[in-house]
Amino acid sequence: MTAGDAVLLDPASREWNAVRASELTLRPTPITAQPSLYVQAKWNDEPYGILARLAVRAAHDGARLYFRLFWMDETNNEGIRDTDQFADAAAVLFPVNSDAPLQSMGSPEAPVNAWYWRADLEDPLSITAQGTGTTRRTQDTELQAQGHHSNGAWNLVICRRLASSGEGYISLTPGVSGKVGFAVWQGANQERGGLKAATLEWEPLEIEA
Amino acid sequence: MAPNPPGVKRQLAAVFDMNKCLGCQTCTIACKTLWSDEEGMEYMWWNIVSTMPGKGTPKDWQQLGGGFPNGGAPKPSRIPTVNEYGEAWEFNYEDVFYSGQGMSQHLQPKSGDADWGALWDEDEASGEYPNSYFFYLQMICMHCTNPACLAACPRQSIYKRVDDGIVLIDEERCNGYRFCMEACPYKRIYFNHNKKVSQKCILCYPRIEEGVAPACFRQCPGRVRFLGYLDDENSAVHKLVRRWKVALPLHPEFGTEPNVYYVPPLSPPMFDADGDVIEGSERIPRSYLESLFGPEVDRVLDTLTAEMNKTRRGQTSEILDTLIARQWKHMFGGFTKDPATLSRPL
Repeated sequence: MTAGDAVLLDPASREWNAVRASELTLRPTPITAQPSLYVQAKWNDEPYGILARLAVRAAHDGARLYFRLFWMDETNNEGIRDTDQFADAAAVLFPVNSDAPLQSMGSPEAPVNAWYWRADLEDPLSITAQGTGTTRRTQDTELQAQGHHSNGAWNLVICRRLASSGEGYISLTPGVSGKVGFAVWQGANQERGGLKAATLEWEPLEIEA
Repeated sequence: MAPNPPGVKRQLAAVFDMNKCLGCQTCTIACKTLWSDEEGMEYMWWNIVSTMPGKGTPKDWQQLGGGFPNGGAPKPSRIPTVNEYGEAWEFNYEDVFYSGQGMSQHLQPKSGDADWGALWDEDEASGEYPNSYFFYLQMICMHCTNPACLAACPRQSIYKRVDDGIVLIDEERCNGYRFCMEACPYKRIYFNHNKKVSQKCILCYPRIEEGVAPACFRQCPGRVRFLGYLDDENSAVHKLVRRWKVALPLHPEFGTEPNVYYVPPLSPPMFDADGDVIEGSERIPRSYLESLFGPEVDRVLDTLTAEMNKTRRGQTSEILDTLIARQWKHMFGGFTKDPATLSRPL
């Protein structure tokens, strides 16, 4: 697939119609994996990670890798107007090397790198983690995102340059297969941190040469 | 002498003598002007003085849960809303004062009719006239020995300083999840709407590091607030908490082992139907004070009453002399340096 940056960054672009969607099943991250006893006590009997279906499309133009994420969400939580409000968010997760465990957000030896978009933030963030509760956020000028909410659904494109030299960032190469994971946070349900719907196993990522 | 709490070398603690508080909120303003006068912090009161019995700030915080009741598992709670904390209203000054409408417009919040604010029930008394009563409760972060906020944070963004036990939020690590705001049973944590991080009383740690008492302590015209290391046998705090045991933690049943201690309020006597004093009576029900400070409050009030009777008989009372604090420098456990002498304003 070859197209200009501006075209594919627009989630409504017709270029995306030609790209096959993968329908992924998301599940709540396990309550026992929540890293604080308070969170476990509060959410043990409360539903979280409530989004079950995520439609993912992926494309690259030789220089940049794009993901388009589409999910149903009746409420558009794009701002934090009160102390008890949370914004909708989504992330694409990569193992920095192939051994990194997904459910524990990497390990000390095997970090993971996420592209994190949140509806109330101007720019997406790059996140690296080496285990639960260790995420570090960094500004990454190579990362771009556009999210639109309409007709009860979010339509989000998040993209980054394929090649990266930064420590902890994933570097992707056309022709080489990899792994990827996804997560969605429903702001209306006060989902944040480990309270999310996610792919609990890595999904295969084939980057066509 | 009791050992210091686990995990810290020393613990700074405070004693607030509720019998001396005037409710003037000088502490509140001292804190506000020093720490929370930036955009996104408008509604914050890291220090506030509530009228009791009352709903407090945020509204009804005592009923919201959090903490580790009776030393057990964390109790679920929720994040109070800005309205419950008390919105920082913008007022229609232009309409009332500068637009010639002063006779038709009244001063009110621009956001419309308010039904709650941070000090909405200030100075509202309980009980029946002429035996009505109220007292003031001074609130800051309790810098707990077992902080529920610290335990709730999934990111280890909250830490307790080893050298003095002050509990701080690392704003660089904080992701704004606000689990700490839920878990704190005293509801002393706020959300900064600009920085999108949690914030709270820092016990003026930059002043502490320079030997200066926190602003709310030093500015208090009533000499209500004592500061010191719990293990410093020369400090008023040590004497009041550990030796004489006349200062008690608020809601000890919350299980977080707070390090702010209160000298509970004595009561004026009640009047009978003829307007005569009922000897030995107390206007503030002991049961209410027990609901705040636990069963030990009886012993403390009896001790204070006995000490007052001693001085009335012409004897001296070391406890009362300490609480009266004729020399303010005796109140702060050595943190008596003049902030005006610091190289930067704090």
